[in-house]
Amino acid sequence: MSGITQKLLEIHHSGIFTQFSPEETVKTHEQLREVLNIEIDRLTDVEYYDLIELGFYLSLIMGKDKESRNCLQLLVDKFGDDLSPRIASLKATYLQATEGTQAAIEYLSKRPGDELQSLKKRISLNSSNRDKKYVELLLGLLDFTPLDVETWSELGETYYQLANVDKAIWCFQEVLLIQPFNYYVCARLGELYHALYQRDRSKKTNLELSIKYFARSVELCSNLVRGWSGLLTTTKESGNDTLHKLASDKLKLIEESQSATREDLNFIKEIKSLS
Amino acid sequence: MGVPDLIIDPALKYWVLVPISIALLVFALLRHTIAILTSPSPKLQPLAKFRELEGLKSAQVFKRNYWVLPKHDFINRQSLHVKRLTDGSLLAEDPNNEPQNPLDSNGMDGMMDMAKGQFGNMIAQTAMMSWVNFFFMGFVLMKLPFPLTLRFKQMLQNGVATDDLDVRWVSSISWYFIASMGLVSVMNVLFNDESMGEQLQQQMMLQGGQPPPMMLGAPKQDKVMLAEANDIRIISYESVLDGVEQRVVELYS
Repeated sequence: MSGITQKLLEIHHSGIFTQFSPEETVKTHEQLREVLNIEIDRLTDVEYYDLIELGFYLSLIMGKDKESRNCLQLLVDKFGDDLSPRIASLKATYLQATEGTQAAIEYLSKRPGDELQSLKKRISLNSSNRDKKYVELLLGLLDFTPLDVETWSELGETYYQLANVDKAIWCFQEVLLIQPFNYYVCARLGELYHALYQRDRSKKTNLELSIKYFARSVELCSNLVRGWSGLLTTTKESGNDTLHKLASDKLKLIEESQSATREDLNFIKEIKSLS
Repeated sequence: MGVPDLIIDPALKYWVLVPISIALLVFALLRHTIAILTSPSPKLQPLAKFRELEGLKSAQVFKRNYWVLPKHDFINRQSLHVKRLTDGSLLAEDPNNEPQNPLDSNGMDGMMDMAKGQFGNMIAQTAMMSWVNFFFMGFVLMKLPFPLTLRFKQMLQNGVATDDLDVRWVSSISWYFIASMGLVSVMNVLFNDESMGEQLQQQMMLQGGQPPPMMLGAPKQDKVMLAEANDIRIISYESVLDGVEQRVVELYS
């Protein structure tokens, strides 16, 4: 298997294509077409259909309805229409993109009730208004899948938007229990504890926990701008000078060596102008 | 160096060796295709059972990774998990029910499938062997490049009525055996698809006559959960957050 096929399969499995910029999407799509043209004999069945699925998503993102329709048809021809929940969520995605959310929800509600994947997809279609009903749906799903980090973090963010920071913290702690070395979640927990502290400044323990989680995040990842800048803010409030100095040194170092994304570098500038 | 003790008609190569090999290959291909066509589609696990297993797993995850939590949340979760594990709200079925008889309904399904598969394989194997025996019996086909003990004589020289012929001279049935052993790798090369060979190998393993694993002796879920709850009760708390600031300062300065 060539390197580029490997890369495309990784992109598919990690789902990172949903975060791509338009240029990246177009480029990946081109690469995918090339691979499917040239390497088709060298792919195993599983790899081939994985790539077709990636092609489905990419062309849908690019607005090429016809092409994604073809990819979907290939998959349906191979795996059948009514058995696979994975095909069902592909179909729902297609309906959502072409006919609107309501059509997709209707399609999914006809699926058998014990398909958790269809249920999850249906709930995710409701994510446009994050209200109490949405929270209940997510909780219902989590009762069956308590190890699903995606749902836990979605619930956490929803609680945060509903200003229910305590519960948001609980959700992200669940994520951290499942992925104990996830430094982004550590930094997120630091931010949430800090939010709690800002609401009630008499509770110093929240500030302490916030510092601890930020420190844990940078312990795991040495150039995590999010963690260091959190540490910078929180240690200033608590008066921990050693850590504060360390954080500002580290941020300066990251800025000088440009060892972060452009967004993060801009963020460092912003935080500097604040302090 | 003398004259070899037997001279084999070269036509045997074309009329016995090659046909058996080809028949074997075609037959394996056919069996593979039939196996794919008749294999049952995977069934989804019943939701209640799934929930029970996931709940248990999440308790185990807590037991393993509790050290990421602050003390307060640790204690909350500890009591929550113990409660959920002991009050039976996670259980898929009532623990007081009689354990399901594995010989009826659902339990039987899997076994039927397996039995069908085995039975089919056995018939196929027997048919193939009698085909070889019927058409190609009563003469020796080739000489093995390694010596064998006399005990193999009965099996490898089936139908050749010469008492003192060296065992290295074997009849066509042994070519059939040898070829079917090497079939997996041949299929791999021919079809460039690992899965095919693996499946064949599996079929061969099944023919070894191992009884399928039974679910009879599995411990009851409520007992497993109680044990898990006890484990969780006695965790002595420690946290990665203790002294993390100090560690960070030491790490980066």
